[in-house]
Amino acid sequence: MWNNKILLALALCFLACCTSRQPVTHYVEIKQMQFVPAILEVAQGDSVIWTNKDIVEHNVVNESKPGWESKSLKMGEMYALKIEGKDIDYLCTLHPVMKGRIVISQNK
Amino acid sequence: MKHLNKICIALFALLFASTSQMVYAQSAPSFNDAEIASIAVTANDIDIKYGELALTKTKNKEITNFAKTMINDHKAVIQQAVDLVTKLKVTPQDNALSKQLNADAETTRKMLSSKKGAAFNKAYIDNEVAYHEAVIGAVKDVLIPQSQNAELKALLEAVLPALETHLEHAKMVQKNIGG
Repeated sequence: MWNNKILLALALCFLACCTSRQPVTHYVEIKQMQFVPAILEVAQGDSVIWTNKDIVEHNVVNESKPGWESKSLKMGEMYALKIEGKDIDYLCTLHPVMKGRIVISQNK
Repeated sequence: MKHLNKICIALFALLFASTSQMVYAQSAPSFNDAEIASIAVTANDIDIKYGELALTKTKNKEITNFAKTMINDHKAVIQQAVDLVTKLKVTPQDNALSKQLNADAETTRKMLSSKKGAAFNKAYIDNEVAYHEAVIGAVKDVLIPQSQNAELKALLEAVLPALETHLEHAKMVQKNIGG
């Protein structure tokens, strides 16, 4: 009887381990005046790191208010964010024609 | 060849006519790397000065933000150009075109200085659109093809997307302020 309970507990642990997903870090490069990729699919709890590869400074700003925003990033500087909530439209306010989007996927 | 020269002259007249006052009538333009470096630095410096003038003349938030971006971005490009010519031990060489650009810019600055308020905002952003269109054309069609040094060519190629983004941004501001 005890053996059965232990086996059941082990099986549940195994199942939980197999189905729970570890958060993933995604990378967006800011290069040639674009966010690459411009549309990024992530899961709740994942992180995104933006890295500026351009000569000129950029920032990353959530278009929704109240939102978040990075400081101005010089070449080589990064900004990291843990993704929680809903889809995010963002832009570089220094060059407002530069836009990006983070899509929260249930399938990730 | 004669026809090609005419095209080149016409191209330069178009590319560098920042508003309407410039006529560049010389023989076919041909530049060495030192001259190209000088033209690149001059073209960036001119837009920095337009931006600095705008900050003293406007209260419009969009124009202010645009001017700040122009100042910062073009300063960053100049720094890259200076670092490169220092590394390559090249001294930027004044030439007919860089002198003409400066002369035209002086005329444009006088025109902008004479305006106030909404008239200034419109004149500034209209000039930014025309200036970036001209510079993009020149970089793409003349300076990049004529660059001999691979690093200079690569720098000009790297700058091109920034100029194109500035142009899109300028057009957006132009539309928003009703220009």
